[in-house]
Amino acid sequence: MLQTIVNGLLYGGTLSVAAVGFSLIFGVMNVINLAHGVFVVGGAYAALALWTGLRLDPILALVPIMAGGFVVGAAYQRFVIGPAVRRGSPVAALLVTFGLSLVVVNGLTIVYSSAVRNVSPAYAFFSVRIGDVTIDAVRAIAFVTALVLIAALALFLRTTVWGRMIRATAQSELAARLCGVDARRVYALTFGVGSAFAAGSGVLIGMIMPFTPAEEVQWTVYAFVVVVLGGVGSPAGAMLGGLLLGLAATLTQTYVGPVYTNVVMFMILLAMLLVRPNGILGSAFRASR
Amino acid sequence: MGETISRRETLALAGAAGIAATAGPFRPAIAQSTPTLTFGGTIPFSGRWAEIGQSVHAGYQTVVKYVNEEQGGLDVGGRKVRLEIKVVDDASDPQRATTLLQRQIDDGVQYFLGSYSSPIILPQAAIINRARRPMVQAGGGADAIFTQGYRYVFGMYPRASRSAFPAVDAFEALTPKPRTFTVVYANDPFSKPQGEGVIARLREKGMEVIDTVELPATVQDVSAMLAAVRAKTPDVLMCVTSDQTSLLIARQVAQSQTDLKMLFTSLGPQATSFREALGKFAEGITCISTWSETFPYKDPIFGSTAKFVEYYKKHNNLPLIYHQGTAAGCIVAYAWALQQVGRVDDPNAVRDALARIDIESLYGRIKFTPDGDGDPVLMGSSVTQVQGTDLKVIYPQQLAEARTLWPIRPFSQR
Repeated sequence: MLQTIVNGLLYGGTLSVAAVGFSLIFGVMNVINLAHGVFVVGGAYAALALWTGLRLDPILALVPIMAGGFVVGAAYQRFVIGPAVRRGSPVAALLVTFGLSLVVVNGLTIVYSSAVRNVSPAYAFFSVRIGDVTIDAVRAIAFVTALVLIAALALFLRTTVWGRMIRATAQSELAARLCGVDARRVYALTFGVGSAFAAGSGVLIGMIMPFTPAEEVQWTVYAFVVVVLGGVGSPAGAMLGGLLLGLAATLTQTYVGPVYTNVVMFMILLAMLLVRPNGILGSAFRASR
Repeated sequence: MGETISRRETLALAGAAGIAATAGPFRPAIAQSTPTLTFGGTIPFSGRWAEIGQSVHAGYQTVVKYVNEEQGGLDVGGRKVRLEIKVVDDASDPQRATTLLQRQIDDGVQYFLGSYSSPIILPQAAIINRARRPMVQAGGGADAIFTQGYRYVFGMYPRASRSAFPAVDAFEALTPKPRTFTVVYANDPFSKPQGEGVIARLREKGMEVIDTVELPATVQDVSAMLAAVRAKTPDVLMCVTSDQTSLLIARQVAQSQTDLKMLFTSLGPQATSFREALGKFAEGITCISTWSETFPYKDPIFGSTAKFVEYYKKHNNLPLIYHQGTAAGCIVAYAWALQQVGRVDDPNAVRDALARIDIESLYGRIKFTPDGDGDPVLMGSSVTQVQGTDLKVIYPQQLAEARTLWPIRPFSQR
């Protein structure tokens, strides 16, 4: 039982960090970013390229990859999503994100092929045994990194000027504008931060599990489930949702059967949408909208 | 005064020079006057199966190129026939694949080659059978393709539930004989019947299956499953899973130091990227391979497997894996059937010839069961094992390149 809980928490940490960027973008901009998984998978491939090309450790590679994710995400919002929303509607933005994901996935396939890849630093195959519990080193490292990243995001949103501007814009764009906030910049910033976290999570995922370009769909879907479970817009909601989902997955694997894992995960999604559509912690910004 | 050239002669020479100058461009037109036989179908050039799709296509194309360029076409009924492949990208999407196939049938294509993966081949098989056009394919082994009475679909593999029998037979032949097995299989149209077939074969051979695990088609974490495996450790863990799930399992087996005497994954080790991702932890993992470039067979087109391999490597950059060999076997089978019929406009007769084929080829023996799948004995897979950085054939004995590493070095001691 203890082993199952540990496995669930470690898996949940990965789900959390993969979902937090999606949650932020959804919560602040009300855009469902169907290209979210592309940033996750893109981060994994970037880590692979830096590892195989420069032997740069994936944890160290988080810094340039998250920075790259931020720049690409911000530019993407500024020049693609923003105009789509202004000229069309959030539905137009939805379609644009879907189109982008198709383009990038096929681009990655051309460059890297659809072969299964993995980032394998030296510590990827170590494990630690504490009593009867075995902990994979790479999963533990990814879990701690996820906690640090999510805590840093929470601090950024709570204590910095830019964080306050993001929260203010999410609560009321009009009021924020009246107070002198440049909403377009804030949206670009939000998308950039969300994309940086997605790319960062891809680095961690690339160390833990095999990936292919086509994988992006499932990371978008999992992000959606985590956000519905934990609540929209807050790092705490993503963390809670991810951990609960991870626990649900491993408990199902152990006590019901691995084949039912997805069934249980999507039953939880359905139940939450019916009973508490804003998630356990609710929408971070809904109360003031 | 020398000889003069009259105006008429000048015009004649100019005309002759003009013809000579344009003779090159006319050459293809002359070549095109040779009858052309078109093979249609779809291939996953993009999407999930893109890499394998390109390998399958390269296998098809290599035989066609050889026949056209080295032999001047295929000799059918005393006439040379140029072969042509017109396959379109199905993007690894079954729905798209069926639509594109139907369009080719409507356009009059009479002979078809297969795409890759059972989820694509299965719906295509129904369409092909309804249209009464033959398809020879090396991409779909699901039982359902061969158990619904489709008469026009032929597969180069034994159906899924029989396709991993050689692995069980290989383990039975080990000394000392492994006693206990855990079988893991994914719930997809190919892996599930293949896994169920493995379980049935193990029991038939009197070997003890201590646990069976059914995984979803895609899975991100198998740590809970491996905790159960460690609690009741088998001699052999047999995983009948996709290459991605196989890699996940192998990684987590190594990470969690789950010491097994043998790890088998049906798919995965065949790919270089799989072996590179695992490094020293890949050593000893076994898998099945339907074809190896070291096979010692004779072939009616190339002469032998070795000559096919040589020609392939001379004209392709794509690494040669078993998919090219199986795909090439499809064209060899078609070529034999067309030559038996002696004409290219009778797909029903070609279908009947395919049904009775029994030849040796670069791929090995080609003989289909009455249901259209590969004969489980004559067309059964070889069993291969990662040794060093390469895959070595370890079973059947007559094809073995190396002795089996058994038991494998414990993961905790690597």
